[in-house]
Amino acid sequence: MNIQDIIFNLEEYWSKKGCLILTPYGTEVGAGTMNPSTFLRVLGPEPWRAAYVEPSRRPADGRYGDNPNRVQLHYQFQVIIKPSPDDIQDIYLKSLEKVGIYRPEHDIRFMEGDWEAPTLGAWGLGWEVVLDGLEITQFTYFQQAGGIDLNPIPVEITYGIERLAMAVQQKDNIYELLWGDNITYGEIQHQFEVEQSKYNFEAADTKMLFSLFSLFEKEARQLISKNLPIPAYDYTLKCSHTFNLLDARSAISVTERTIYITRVRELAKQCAQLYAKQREKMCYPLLQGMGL
Amino acid sequence: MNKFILEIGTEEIPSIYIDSILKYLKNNARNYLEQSNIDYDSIDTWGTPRRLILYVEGIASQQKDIFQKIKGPPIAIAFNSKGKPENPVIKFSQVNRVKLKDLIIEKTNKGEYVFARKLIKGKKIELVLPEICLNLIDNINLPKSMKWGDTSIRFIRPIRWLLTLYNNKVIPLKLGGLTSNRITFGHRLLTTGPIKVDSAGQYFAILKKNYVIIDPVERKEIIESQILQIIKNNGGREYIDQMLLEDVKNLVEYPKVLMGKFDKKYLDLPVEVLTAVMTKHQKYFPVYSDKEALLPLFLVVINGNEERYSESIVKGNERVLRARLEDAKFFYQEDQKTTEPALKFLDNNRDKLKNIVFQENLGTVYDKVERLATISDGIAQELQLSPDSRQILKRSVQLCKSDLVTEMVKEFPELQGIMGKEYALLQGEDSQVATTIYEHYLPRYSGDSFPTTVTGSILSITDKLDNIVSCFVNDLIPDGSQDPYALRRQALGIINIILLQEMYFSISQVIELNINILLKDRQLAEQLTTENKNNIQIIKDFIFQRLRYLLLEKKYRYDIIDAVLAKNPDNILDILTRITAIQNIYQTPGFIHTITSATRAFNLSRNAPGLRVNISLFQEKEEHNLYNHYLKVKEIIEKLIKRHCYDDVFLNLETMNVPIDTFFDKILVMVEDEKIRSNRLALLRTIADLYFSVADLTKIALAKGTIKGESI
Repeated sequence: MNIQDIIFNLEEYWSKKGCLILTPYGTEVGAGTMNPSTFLRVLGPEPWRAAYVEPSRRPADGRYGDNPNRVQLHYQFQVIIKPSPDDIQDIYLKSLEKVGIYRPEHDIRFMEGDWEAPTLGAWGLGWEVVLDGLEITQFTYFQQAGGIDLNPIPVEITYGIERLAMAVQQKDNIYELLWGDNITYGEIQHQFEVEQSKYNFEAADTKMLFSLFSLFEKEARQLISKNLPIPAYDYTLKCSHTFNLLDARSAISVTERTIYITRVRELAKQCAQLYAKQREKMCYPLLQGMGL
Repeated sequence: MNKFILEIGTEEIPSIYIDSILKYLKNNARNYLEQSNIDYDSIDTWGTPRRLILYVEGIASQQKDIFQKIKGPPIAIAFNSKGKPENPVIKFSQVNRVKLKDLIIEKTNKGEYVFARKLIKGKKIELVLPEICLNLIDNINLPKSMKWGDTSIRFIRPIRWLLTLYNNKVIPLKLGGLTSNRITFGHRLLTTGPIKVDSAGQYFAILKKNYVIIDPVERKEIIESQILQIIKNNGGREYIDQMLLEDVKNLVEYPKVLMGKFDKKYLDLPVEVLTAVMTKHQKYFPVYSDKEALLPLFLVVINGNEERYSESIVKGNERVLRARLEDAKFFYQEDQKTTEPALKFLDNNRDKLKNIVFQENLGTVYDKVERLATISDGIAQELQLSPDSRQILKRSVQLCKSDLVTEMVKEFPELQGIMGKEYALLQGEDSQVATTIYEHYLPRYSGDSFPTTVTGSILSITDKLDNIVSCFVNDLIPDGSQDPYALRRQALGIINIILLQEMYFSISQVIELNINILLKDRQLAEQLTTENKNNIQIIKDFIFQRLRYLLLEKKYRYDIIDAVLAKNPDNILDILTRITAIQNIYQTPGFIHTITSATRAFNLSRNAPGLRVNISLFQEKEEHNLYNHYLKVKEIIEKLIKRHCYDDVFLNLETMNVPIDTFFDKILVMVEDEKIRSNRLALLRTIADLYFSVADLTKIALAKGTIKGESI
C-alpha cells in the first residue's frame, strides 16, 4: 500500500468514526499538536473530533538526506477526539486494519510513553504504540494544554506516516517508500531534505532569525493585548519555529535555551487562556455536539 | 468455600509500576478486611498490563459481630453520693439505647468513666464489599495518575471494566460511569469481545483459556526458561539481564520468546553500546558468547502470537534493530572525528563542555572539570601519590567529561564513562587513564561496583563531592524523601570508597577548597563567606549522617559511633578506626574502668574551664604522680593518634586509671583554699581532656550495675 493510499484509508476510516477531515495548518509547526485544530480545540468543554495530515518540521533532525530514518520534515497523521471514547484503543487498532495491519499477525504493544511539549505548556500520559519493534504511533490522553487543566480529556493519536509506511511496505530506507505506485518518497522529498538541512545547519542567517524571534514575540504580545488569541497564536508558532532553527544552528546556549522555551510557553499560555475565555463568552457554540 | 474476585480492567499500565501496585493492593485489602471485621483464609493479587486482580479465598459471608465501647460521663458527675444515677448518665443511656444496668465503669488515664457497650451486628458481606472495593481502587498509591473522557476519577491509566464476583453473584459497584459486572476480556490480540464469567471459581480457567497468564512470577518463569533454552541451542552463555526480565514480564499477558539475528559487522561496536541499543530502546535480550563478547543474536519477548506469524514478526524487529545499530555505528564513527587537526577528538571535545551548564549560577561542565583538576590533585598530594599516578590522574581529569558531548552519550546517557573509556583507548591514551575515566562514575547505583584504582577512587570522590557541594551552595539540599540529585547515594559512595581504599585525609579541607574554587569566579564569594563557614560544617554533617547510617547498618554500636562523632572529627577512615578500636575493647574490665575514671574526672571538673595546672600549687605526692604520669601518657598518645593506632591509645589511657583512683582516694578536691581547689579541678579537667582525646566517653552506655562516676 503506498503512502497516499495509507492517508486516504486513514482519512476514510476516521471520517466514518465522526471526525472532521481537516488540513495542515498554514505555518511551520513541529507537530500536529501545534495546529490550532488540536492546541486550541482541546481547551474547554466543547466536544471535538478531527483528523488531518500535518507536515512536521524538526530542523535539528535533518541529515542531508543521508540517514535512512531521520528527516527534518516528516508527516504526521493526527487524530484528536474530545472527550476520549471508552473504546478508543480498539477503534485505533481497527484503523490499522485499514492499512493492512491485522492484530493476530503482529506483535502490537502499548509501551509507556508520556508526552510533554514544554513550549506549549502541554502534557499527557499514554503510550508509544510499537508494531513488531517499530514505534508507529504516539497515543496520548492530554491532561494539560497551555497550562490549563483539561476537562473533558481529549485523546490524541499521532501516526508517524513514514514509520507506518515502512512497516506496511517492509522498507528499511525512508527514501525507498512508495508515495504513489510509481514514485518514491525519495524522488519527491530528497532534494528538500538536502537543501533544508543545508539551510538549517549552515545557511540560516542567525542574526536575522534572532531579530525575527523578537519581532514575532512582540507582535504576539500586542495581539494578546488586543484580545486576539488566534492571530497571536500564529505568531507564537512562528516564534517556536524560529527558535527551532536557531537551536539547530547551535546558536542558543543551554542557559539561553531554557529562557527561550519559557518565552514561547508564556505566549502559548496566554493565547490558550484568552481563547478559552472567548469561547466561554460565546457560550461554547459547539457544546451541543458537532453536527456530525 | 466462599470466593471473591475483583478484576480492574485497564488500558496498558506501565510495566515498571505493576509489581508495586499489586503489593499495595494486597496490603490495603488485608487492612480493609481486618478493619471491617471480615474473616478470610487468604488474599492474593495478580496482574498484567491490562488487569489488576484481587482474589480472596474463604471470605466470611458476613462481618463479625463486635462490641463497641462508647465513653460517657466521668463517674464523679454520673452518680450521687448514694450511688444513684444522675441526669448526665441517664441521658447517656437513653441516647445510646443501653439499659442503665448494662453500663460499665472503666478506668482511663483521666480517671473513672462510664461506658456503654453496644453490640454491633455484622452486616452481610455483599453489603460491605462495594465500599471496600471502591476504597481499594481509590487508595492505591500511584506514582502518576490521570483522567480520561469526561469522568472525574483518576487512575494510572483508564479503567475500562470492573469484574466483581462473590461466588456467582456480582457485587454491584459504580465508578466513573462504569458498573461492575461478570464480564472480562481475554488477550487483546488473540481473542475478541467480552467473556462472561459465571462464578469466581471459573475465572482462572477462563483467563488461561483466553491467553492470559495472570501471575507475573509465572510469566517471568516462562520467559526465563524459553530464553535459557534458546541460549543453550545457540551455544551462548547462560545469562539473563534480571532488570530487563522484571520489566518485560509485565509488558505482555502471554509471553513468547523469539530469536532474531543481526549482521556480524555490528559486533565491532563496544559490547556496552550493543546492549544499550538492544535493551534500552528495544527491550531485547542480548546473547553473550562469553563474558566479554556477544553473539549476533537478540531475543524479543512478544505477546503470544501464533507460530505461523513468528517469521514476519522477527523480520520486522530485525529491520528496526538494524536501523538502530546503523545509527549507533554512525555515532561511533562521527564521535571519533576532530575539528582541530592538532587535537585528539576527546581533547577537541573539551571546549564544547563550555556549552553545557553544570548548574545554575555555577558555570559549565568545563568549569567543573577545572575544579576537579585542582581538588583531585590536592587529595593526591595529601595521599602522597607517586608522580606517575599524579600524571595519570591529571590526564584522566582533563578527559573525564569529554564523552558527554559525543553523539553516543547524548543518545544513551547511561553510557557516560563507558564511552569515555572506549574513546580514550581509541585515541591512544594509557589504559590506566581510560580506567580512571570509567571508574570516576562508580558506584552509579546501590550495589554497583567500586573504583579499583587509586586514581579512579580519587576522581570519583572529587566528582561526587563537587556535586554535593554545588547543590548545597545552590540550596538544593535533600529534604525528607526528596533527593532528586541522589546526593545521599553519592555521599555514601564517597564514604565507601574512602574506607575501601583506606584513605586518610581531611574531608572538611577538601570541602573548603571546593567551595572556595566554586565561588571564586562567581563574584558571590563575599556575600557568601560567612555562609560558607556554615556550609562546610553542614556538608560535613550531611556526609557524616550517611556515615553514621552506614556504620549502624554494619552493626557498630550507636553510642560508640556518637562518642567518636561528638569530637567533630574530620577524617572518615580515622573515624572508623577509632570506632573499631573502642568496639574491640568495649566490654573489657580495663575499658570500663577507663570510662568510670574518665567520667568521674570529667563530672567533677566540667564547670572548671580554661584553668591551667600550676605545679607549684601541688600539695601532695599523688598530685605530682598523676600529673607526671599524665605528661608521659600524653606524649605517647599524641604520637599514636598521628599514626591512627587507637588500640594502643586505649591501652595507654588505661595506665591512667590507677594513679587517678589513688588521687581520688587520697586527695580531697573541694578544699577550702580556692587556689588549691581550682588547681586540682584544673588537673582533673586536663586529665579528662586527655581521656576524651579520641571519643566523648560519657556518651558510651555501660551495662547496668557499672558505676558511672559521681556528679556534683
